[in-house]
Amino acid sequence: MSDTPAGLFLSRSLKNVNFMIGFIILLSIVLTAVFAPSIAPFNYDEPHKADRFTAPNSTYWFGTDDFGRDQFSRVVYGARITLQVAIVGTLIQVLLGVTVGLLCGFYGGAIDRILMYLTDVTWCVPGTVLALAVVTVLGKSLMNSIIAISLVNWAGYARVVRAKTMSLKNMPFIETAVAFGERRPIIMLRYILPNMVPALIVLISMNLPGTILSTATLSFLGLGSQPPSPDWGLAISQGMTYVTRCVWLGVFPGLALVYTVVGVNLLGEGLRDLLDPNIG
Amino acid sequence: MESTAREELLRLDKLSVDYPVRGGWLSAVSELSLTLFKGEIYALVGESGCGKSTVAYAVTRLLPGSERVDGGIYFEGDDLTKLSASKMEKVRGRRIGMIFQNPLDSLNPVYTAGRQISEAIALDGVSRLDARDRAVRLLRDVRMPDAEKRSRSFPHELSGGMRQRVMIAMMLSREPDLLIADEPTTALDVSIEAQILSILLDQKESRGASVLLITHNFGVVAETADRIGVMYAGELVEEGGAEDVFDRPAHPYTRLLMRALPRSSKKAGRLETIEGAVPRFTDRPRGCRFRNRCPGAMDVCAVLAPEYKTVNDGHRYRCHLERTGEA
Amino acid sequence: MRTYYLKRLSMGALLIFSVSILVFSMMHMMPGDPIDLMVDRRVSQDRRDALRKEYGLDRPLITQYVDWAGKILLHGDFGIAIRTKQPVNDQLSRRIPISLKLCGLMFLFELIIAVPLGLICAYKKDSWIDRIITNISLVMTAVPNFWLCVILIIIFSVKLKWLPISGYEQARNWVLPVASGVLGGVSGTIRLTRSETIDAMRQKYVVTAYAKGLPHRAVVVGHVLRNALILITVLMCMSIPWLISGAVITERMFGIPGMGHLLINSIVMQDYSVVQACVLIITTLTVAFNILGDILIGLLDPRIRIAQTEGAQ
Repeated sequence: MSDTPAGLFLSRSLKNVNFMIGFIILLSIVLTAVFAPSIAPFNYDEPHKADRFTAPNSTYWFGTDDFGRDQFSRVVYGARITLQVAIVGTLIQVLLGVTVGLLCGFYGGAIDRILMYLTDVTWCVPGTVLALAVVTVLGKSLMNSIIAISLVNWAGYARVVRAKTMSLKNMPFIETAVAFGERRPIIMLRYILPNMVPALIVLISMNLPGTILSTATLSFLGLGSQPPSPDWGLAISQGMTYVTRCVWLGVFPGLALVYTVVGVNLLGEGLRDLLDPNIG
Repeated sequence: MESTAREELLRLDKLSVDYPVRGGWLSAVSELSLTLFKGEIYALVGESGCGKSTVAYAVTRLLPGSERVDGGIYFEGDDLTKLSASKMEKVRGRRIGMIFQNPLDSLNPVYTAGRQISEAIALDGVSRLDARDRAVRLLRDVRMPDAEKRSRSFPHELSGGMRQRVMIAMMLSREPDLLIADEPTTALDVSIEAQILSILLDQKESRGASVLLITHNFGVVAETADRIGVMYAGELVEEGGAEDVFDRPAHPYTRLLMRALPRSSKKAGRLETIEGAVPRFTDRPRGCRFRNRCPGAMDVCAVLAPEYKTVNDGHRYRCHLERTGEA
Repeated sequence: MRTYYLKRLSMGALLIFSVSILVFSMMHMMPGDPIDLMVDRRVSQDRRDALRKEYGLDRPLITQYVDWAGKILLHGDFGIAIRTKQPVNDQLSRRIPISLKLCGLMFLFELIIAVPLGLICAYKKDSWIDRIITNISLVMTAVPNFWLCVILIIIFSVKLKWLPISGYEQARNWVLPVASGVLGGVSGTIRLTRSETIDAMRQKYVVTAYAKGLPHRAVVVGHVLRNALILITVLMCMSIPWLISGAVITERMFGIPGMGHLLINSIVMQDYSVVQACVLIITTLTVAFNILGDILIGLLDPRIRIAQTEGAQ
């Protein structure tokens, strides 16, 4: 089994404690999100008028809120939103970053200078503030907050992809492809891009915690997910409203967030050891 | 080499140094014994990785701290391995100076050359201002061009040769009895190399300092050393007066080193032309450490470590082979 | 040297100019009529046109931009908030000192706490104390700042009843906001200090310093710390703007009426002239602290000073 590259990778990852713990945590979140209806005892917006503000007990594991909604079910369903944020956010960032990075690194010259200046401009506005400004324009919704965060974070991808493209561009196998008359877009997609997959994977795992936390922050500020969404960030802000009466409302969604981010961090740490991608 | 009434300065007594590595200890120096007398230049020669630099760092107790050191290091009667940390601070610089290779990394980039030299001088209670003047004078002594101006330069503004002069001036500043020079001329031009060696020679002749010269360059040795020790894989394989070792090398390794010198200019020769590399041992092996590269290896070499054999007074080597003709 | 600073300053000015165009055009691309934000929908078209004229919204965008930027440059005047109909400057001048106080306190405590802890970790590398501090700071990076605020409030205000939840008049009001900011930022600084110091300790010039006979203490202060603190100082200086944006959340949580509070409220109310002003001020601070960082590193590290001098020629 361990003769093939994939087998080798598998046997090495099994020995990497960080990777394994991170992987198990992430797997548990994905499974929770997928099987949320079977795991959650109630629907996330099902009110129980008689049981408002109930402290955690055997029926309502994480207690209930002002509508008497089961908090455990809401946290379970919230995993779906976090997963959505992670996938959509990463997709936008990677798409933007890789496109710009490839173009800049491959063609250089004026395109490179203009696009890199643009990333410079986005870099000199603190992320939270830029995201807030974008949300002002787009309006309050989960999707818009994901877009806002992605517009802030894509520049990091662009920089790494650009640097990698520039160093790969001069490799002999690329020159061979050019000599054989391959078209430039084909060279970029078939020859250069596959060579930075390991670096991209590690970069994604490094950026994911920021994406999740920033989007949750926007939801917390009331600029992302809107009620009755079970978004963890939104749930914490609702918990803050009743912080003097029922402490549990703010605690559990936050723990879920920390659990997720710790998982991603560990996975990223492990991936960095396993793939060792030399990111500038 | 006349050997009467020489006063002992430094004596290593079965010095062993092991570094921790994954799954055991790497033997860098193994039961090495040698004596350095007052007013002589002793050259410790060997390929990179043979443990010669480790000897230098062990004597000054500047090893990283995770290593295991056995044996004794006697310097003017004190066993340096047993000295307290604060007493050792008083030995360094004042009684033993150490000149490092690669002086760009070895000089602090944020201080001027003069400041780094006077910092050492000020340790002897000299005022900052006097120390500064002394630093300039020292730079002049080591033939630094434009010494006054250069003392105000930062290390990266100086050439490789100038940096090495700063390093030497720094280590001469407190007039130590023993100078340890670890590859002092590596990566320097031949003309600068000659100047640096003559500074070391001058230290010996003008004030009777001893020098432990660590090098992989036999050319350097030929011009300066009084005695030579040849190291291989952490062991001293041959030792003797410079002429004896040069003209009548006894150990097969020494002979190989000699043969590796280009015939035309022995002086510029480097030891890079021997095949294979110095092996590293994670445990202390049985038998002779050189046997896998030795042209004359015998069955006995695999099981029994050889004892030292004496050629003449002060010239000894460590091999099962009897010394035969010239190399 | 001077050419380098001039070059750096003009680059910074260009960046701020670009951001101002970016922010201005973003705010004016906003869907909907800004007049709708000012008056009720039922107001007559004549009145609306009069308002549009009064606020200069009928002019071409470029004219509006030049007018807006010109007023800021010449008079430091950020215009009038369309929602509250107050001068933006009045709102800012009340709030900026409060934000500065909060950020200043956070920075100070972060420095006092994080740098010594980072140094302890570096000097006791791999000891139990290093492991505890590094692991806690690793977990802390996974804790969202706003949730940290909630937890601090639950522990110290709700359960223990030691500290008030909100307000900003008394010193005890500032304990929790500052603590949450410091706890959030401290782990990065600890890890930076630790890695920089460990890196400095491994340098060969440290061995040289010991070799010339310097006592341990002199080596640590004069060679290890002197060199390690270069990058720590500079990066901390450059992190100040991020502290300000972090304070946005802290202010909102604890009801501190600073600039961040104003920014969020203005976003919710779509009061774009205030948002523009806040973003521009924070950007200018970011650029300014970055330039300051570059100047500082040049002063502290002669290698970089020379590179800067040569690069500017």
